[in-house]
Amino acid sequence: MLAVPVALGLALSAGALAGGFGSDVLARGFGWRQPTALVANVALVLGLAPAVLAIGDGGWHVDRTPLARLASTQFSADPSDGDYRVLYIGDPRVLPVPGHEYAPGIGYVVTDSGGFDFTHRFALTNTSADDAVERAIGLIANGSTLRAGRLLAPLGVRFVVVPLTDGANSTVRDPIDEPAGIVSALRGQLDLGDYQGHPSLEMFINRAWFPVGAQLTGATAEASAEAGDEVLVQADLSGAVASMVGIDRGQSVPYEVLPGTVHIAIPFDERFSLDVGDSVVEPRPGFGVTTAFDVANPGVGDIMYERDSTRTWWLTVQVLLWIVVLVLASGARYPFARRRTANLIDETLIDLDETSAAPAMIAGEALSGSGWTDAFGDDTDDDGYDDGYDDGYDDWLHGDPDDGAEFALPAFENESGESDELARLAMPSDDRDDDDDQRGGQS
Amino acid sequence: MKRRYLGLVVVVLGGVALIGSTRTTLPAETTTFQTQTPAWMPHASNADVITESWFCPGVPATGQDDVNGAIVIANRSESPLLGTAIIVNDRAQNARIDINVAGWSTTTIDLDATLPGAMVGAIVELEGGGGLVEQQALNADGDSQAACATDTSSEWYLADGFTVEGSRNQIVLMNPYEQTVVASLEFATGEITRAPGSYSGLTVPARSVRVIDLGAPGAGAQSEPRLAVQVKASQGRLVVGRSQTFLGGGRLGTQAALAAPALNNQWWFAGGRHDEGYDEEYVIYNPTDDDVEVDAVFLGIEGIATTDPILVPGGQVVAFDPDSVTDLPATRYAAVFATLTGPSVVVERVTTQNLDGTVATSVMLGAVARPDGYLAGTWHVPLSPGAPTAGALSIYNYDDAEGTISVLAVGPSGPVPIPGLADLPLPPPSSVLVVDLTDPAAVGRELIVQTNSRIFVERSFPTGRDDTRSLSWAIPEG
Repeated sequence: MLAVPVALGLALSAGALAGGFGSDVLARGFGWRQPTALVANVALVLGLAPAVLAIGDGGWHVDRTPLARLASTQFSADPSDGDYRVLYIGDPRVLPVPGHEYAPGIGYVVTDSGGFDFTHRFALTNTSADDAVERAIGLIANGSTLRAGRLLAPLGVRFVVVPLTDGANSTVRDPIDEPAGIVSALRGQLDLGDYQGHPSLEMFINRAWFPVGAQLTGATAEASAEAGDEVLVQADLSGAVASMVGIDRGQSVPYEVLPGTVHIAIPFDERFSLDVGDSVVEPRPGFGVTTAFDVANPGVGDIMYERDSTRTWWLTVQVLLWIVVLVLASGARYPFARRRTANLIDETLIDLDETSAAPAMIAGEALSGSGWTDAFGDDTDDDGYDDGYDDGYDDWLHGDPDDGAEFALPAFENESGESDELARLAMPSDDRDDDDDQRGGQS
Repeated sequence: MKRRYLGLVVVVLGGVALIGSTRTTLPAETTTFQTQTPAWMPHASNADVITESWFCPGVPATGQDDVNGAIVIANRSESPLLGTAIIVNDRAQNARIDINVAGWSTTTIDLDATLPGAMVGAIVELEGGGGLVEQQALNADGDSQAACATDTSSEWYLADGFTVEGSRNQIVLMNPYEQTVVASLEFATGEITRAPGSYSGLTVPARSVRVIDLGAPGAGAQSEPRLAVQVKASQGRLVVGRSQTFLGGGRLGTQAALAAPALNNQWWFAGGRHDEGYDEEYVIYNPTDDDVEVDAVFLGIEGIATTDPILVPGGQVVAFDPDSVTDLPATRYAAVFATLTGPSVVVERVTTQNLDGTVATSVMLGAVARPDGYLAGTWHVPLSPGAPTAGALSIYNYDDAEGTISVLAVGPSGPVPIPGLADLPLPPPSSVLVVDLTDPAAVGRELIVQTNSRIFVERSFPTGRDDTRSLSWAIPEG
């Protein structure tokens, strides 16, 4: 949540550092700003010390077995059983990964078996399967059924977990209460059994579960052709065995299929198809939500997914847009743009043919020169420049085209007629380098 | 210079706004997922549900020696009632039956024909609700019926138990869940409370019935005239019933009943009999650690008869004989047993009839108000006796209000008033209304007792042995 403002702060700091270096060190002379920056940087390092100590070994003093790590040990993937999913429900602050809101203070998320990685940190968009899960949760909450396990079974949900402590937001010493009545409501479900595990989790095993990829036969296959929670809670789901193992991780391999129904607990999508020998089986909605294939003849079946033909084009456009963004962000400019800028500045700000032009000198010498005319009033920040010059110069340096057009360098005068230092600063960088080289040669 | 400060302010304010707008506000108090209410007596719910579950703990149904059992399912709507029944027995065997009950009709599942067993229960799930389910124990020694439970619970209580002269007192543990339940059983015999190790950690396999016969040799409770029981599940929930076979000691007959899923502070009875041929006692069990004083108030009579408070020590069971109430006339009466110490007791009434030498004992748990104080004005009888029966219903009017009451019989076209039982004047609190189901329209049908007042309806149905009766509650709507 705080990543965005932190990133913004870091970007601003980096920009200010670079800008400050360019304007204070390269463009001006040595003044109070440089030691201040040095002190600030030292302070920054000192300020980091507590944070570094807090990091410790990188765990930020979080419990050695935070929920995310714990869950990976509790719900390991066993291919022989088939793929399954875990429904976490409880206070959103203790869910192991970002989820969806069921009601204020109650969130849920469905995850695959196995551990978590950084990709689980990304919130997912709602699908029809999430709607089905939310409906099931609602039916549990209002006591409308004691067969929530059957409602969750077609989605491959094998475990229902109420996190109590996660070792970070909710600890044993300072736990966050789970939503009132949630454990009791789940315990009252006829097909959700208690599952012994870590005390920081209230776990229930769905006795009506069948795998994400499953071969359905008999009454279960017939039930999958119907839709509606009221049908599902009465359905006989005992006729299901694992099939298409790995489909949930995108690792489906050809599988022996039998006459009946091949079920995959993925929201219905017409792009799926099942190849069995030489025939292609078109999908149909399973249990009104998932994808199912009615198989007439036995054989080796392979789940296929036909990608959207425009997907490649959209990806190409996306890549191009990223390139444009990167180019713009890098500050790269076309040569004609540089010429225009230089010409504009040269033509409007400095007249090098004036006879009062001062001989070249380095910035420090120029600022310490004694012959400057006080033409702008007070120098309140004591940097050798009058306040009016400070404002105008900054506007010019950082590019404010409107104000810059109104800005005109004053007619500087000193005892020796030195006035070309500012003109040198106004030159294009290439020209200025040349100028510096010449001066270096002179010295 | 001013513009620079302005930019700084904008950046700072932007950051604050960003943090503020993305910060998730979570409620300070615990969110409620489901409001928990204590279990009530079996009831006909009008809630909008997708499935309605009934749990029948079990009745003996071996199919041999006239030991049979049945499940009665009544449809209280005009639409067909679909569902499933999972029959379970004490051998952990299951049989699944699809249910299709036509509108306004009743169906019966023959348990011993479906899945015989020493004890056979059922889990009945009805699509969309709108049903009534009860279990029937059909025995040569006498039939009995009791509504099936509408709630599971982790604790159950039974006040009465009797093992004198070889009488059997079987505690029926029915697990409707799909995982093993672990429970422990304690019992009190008069002044002694016992929790034998052999009754600790009892496992009840998924979808099965387990029977604990406390009167069996070695069971630890033989020849006990009083035997109160509490069952607590340490893992999971279950449904508890009781099957009694009385063989002597002043009791005879059989009875299958449901235990109480919770303690209460008021227990009501509508059809007490304090007249010739009836011997009654009330059994009060206090499983808590503290002593409790219980007031017995006898109603439905001219005036009110009371007694001195009945002391029920913690963990003990006490019997109260209404004959000790001098002001109680020889008539039908209602009664309430109440304590001011909160939900702490369970009360059952034991009625032994002796009609011309035929003895039959019936034990009935008191009725309670719903935890929110609700008392029903409409009660259902899933199936009335198959023959004309006098005095089949006893109705006590809780409210001292005038009104009418009707008894309706449910036929193919829906509920219709039974001739002679429509718009009867509500009985005043000083009497109990006794209803005869003698009209042919009232025989073998689902019945509805309807009024705009709050009432209790007690059934007194034939046992099949002469004119002896089995006592049980009708099913309140709510």
